[in-house]
Amino acid sequence: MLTIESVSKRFRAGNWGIRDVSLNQEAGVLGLLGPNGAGKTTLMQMIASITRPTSGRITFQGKDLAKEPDALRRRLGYLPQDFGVYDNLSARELLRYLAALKGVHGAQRIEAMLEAVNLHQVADRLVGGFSGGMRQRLGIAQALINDPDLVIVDEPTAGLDPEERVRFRNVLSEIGFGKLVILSTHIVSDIESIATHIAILRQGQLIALDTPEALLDKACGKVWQVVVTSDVLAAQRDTLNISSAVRKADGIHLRVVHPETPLAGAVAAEPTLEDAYLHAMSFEGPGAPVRQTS
Amino acid sequence: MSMSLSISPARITAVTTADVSMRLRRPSTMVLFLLLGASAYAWIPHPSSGRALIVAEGQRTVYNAAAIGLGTASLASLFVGLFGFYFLSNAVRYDVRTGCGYVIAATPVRSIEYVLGKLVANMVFLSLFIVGFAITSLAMLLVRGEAPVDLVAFAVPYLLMVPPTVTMVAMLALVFETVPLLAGRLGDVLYFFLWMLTIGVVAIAMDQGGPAFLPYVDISGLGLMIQAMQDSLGTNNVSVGASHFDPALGTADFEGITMTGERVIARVVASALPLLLLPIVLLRFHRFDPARIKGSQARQGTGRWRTILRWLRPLSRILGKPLDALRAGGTGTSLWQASRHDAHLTISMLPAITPAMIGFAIATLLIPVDRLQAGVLPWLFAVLAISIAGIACRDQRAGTQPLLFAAPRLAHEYVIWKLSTTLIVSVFFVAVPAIRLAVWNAPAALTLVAGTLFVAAAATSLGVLTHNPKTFVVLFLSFWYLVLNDGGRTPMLDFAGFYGPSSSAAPAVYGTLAIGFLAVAHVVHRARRNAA
Repeated sequence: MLTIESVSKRFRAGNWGIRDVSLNQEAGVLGLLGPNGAGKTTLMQMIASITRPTSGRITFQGKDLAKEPDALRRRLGYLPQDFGVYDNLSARELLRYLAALKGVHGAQRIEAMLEAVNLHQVADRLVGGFSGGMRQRLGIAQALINDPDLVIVDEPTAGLDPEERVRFRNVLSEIGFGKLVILSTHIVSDIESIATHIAILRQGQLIALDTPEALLDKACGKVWQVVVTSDVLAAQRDTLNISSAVRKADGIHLRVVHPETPLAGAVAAEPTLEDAYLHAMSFEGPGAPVRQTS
Repeated sequence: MSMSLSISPARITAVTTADVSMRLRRPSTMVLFLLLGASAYAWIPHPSSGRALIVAEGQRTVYNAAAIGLGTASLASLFVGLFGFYFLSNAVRYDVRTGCGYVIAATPVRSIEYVLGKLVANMVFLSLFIVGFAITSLAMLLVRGEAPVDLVAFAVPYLLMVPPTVTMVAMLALVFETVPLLAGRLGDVLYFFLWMLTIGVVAIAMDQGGPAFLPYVDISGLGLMIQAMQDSLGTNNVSVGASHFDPALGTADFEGITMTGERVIARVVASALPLLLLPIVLLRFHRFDPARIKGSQARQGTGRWRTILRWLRPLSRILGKPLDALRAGGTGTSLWQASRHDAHLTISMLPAITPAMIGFAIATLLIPVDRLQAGVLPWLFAVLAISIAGIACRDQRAGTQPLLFAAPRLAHEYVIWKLSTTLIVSVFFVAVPAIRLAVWNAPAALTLVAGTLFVAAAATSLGVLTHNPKTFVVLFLSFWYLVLNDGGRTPMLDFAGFYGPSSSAAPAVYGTLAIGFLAVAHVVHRARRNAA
């Protein structure tokens, strides 16, 4: 469905946004993970045909984006990271406008989408007065208005409260069979229940692309639990890959991602996707930082 | 490769409809239309006031449909040319700022469809503006008319004069938005002078019987208006818009513009001429590609211009030093200290103003004192206005206002703070001329000080009220142009004594206006804070 071949993006200032990324993805939910500045947004913008790669090729359903961008755009739903709205338009008007640009006509589809994202009761209110969650729901409505085959959502849960995050995840998981959803985030919990594949980016390079199960498998035997004192934590904080630290009565319970036993008394633990992400970020791909155990 | 080159009217209509709907719902549009109604009343005064809409050789024209149509169509063309641009020149930028542009870029809409949609939206908005003005003018014809209402005679000047202005302003707004160097404040200022220069040159050249192609480039229609007056009244010495007349000379009867085929063709060509600029827009339109947007933003500060700014930056430290020396003037959290820092920030952000200040100071010292006011002050105020226009609204536009409002006093006394900053920057401009004038002629210095206070207050209050530096730049430059055109004949207009301190009331009037401006801004700011 979507093939990315050796795609790179170099900005005018000379810095690389994306370097030599290749992947091939069929229908499903691809979670794009990486820290801020890893190149997730740049990669998504290239896939969405908003910006062109400096080199490499992106094809969708066999068609080259550089030559036939409209072939993708007709089948694309895109929700950018900062989905702004026209404050002076109502939700219905904004949706009607974007639907018209996508070549979707007819009020029925617009009404159906408003209902799907639970905005039908406020459809005539100016969107300038909408909360962040309502705006994001309107964003997903416009992304899905043309019943797309490829849905790209860039950090959709940023700034949402927990309830809205769950609601948003549910909407994404219901998008449908046979479509490809690419969802970028730096919060692992956003995708752990819905992603069929996870790609991890670091400094513009793809360092891992696998199923969540495979990523978890790779981290097996590399996650440790250990109870330490505050002094030990202070001394080791910079040298350990700490996945979590919880202070309890008997000391600080650490989860550490490390190829070998990081500290005396550490016991192996079942990895979570968060641990697997940390493992990939720390020990996989070119230029992985090597952490020393003291 | 199969690539369809078809253009979808539905998409163009969608872009146009959304854009016009948004603009019409803005409060500033409502204010604009209300001002229109009021201005029609003002421009068509009752003859008993000694003023009239059209005065030819001191003789007022009878208020018939043709005369009111021609006079108000000329004014409409002038207003659209001067102000319309500033209302329109943020259509693409708004899509970038809101982020909707990225969604639009990911749809099958073509660049040409988007650009045409915005162009048509610009034209529709300006046309609505003109229709509103024409309706209020027509109402004035009913109120003050001295001849039967003739709708055709009234409408013909509008149909002939205004379309080229509408097309050109709509197109130039897009050109200025898409060409990086023209997209900022520099472009706003350049546009003003470009428009004034163009209409002046074409009208004068046509009046003097210039080349035959001139009617085809008479975008504003002022050349046509002068020709029509020449045809009907035998003179080109015409004033339009509430001008004084001599009642002893009686009245003149303007018969209307003769519609010849040649004239109609010339106006159609002039209306289509701006479309030649469309390729520039299409070539420069970034289609919301972040790399191109960042590139164009960066290019506003690259190349020669950036090199010049880099050279100028150390100069701004020269002005920073006296501001640093004034540190002893208050405690760390005082309003004075905040203003001092804000002024320092202004000078650092606009490195080009430092050499301007130094240049004006040198010019002030070199020029004979009796020529200082007319020779230096008008240009000093034009540059000052552009320099201070953004001070009161930049925090809101940059989104830093909530941070600043967390500091002591700034939220409560925001207007005073911004006025103080504006005044500090203004002092750097006017201190040397004011001192020199004070030694030579104290009332002249007083007028200059009152004028400076007025300009600073107007910049501050309009910045606070509209959150847009353009409002002040446009209104002030228009007023400035009026003052220069008047050449001191109306002493009350001469707000800073460009033509000498000829009206003793002027400093008091402009001082009072300044206080009024600030009071309104303060009240509105407080109301907004309470409502937030």
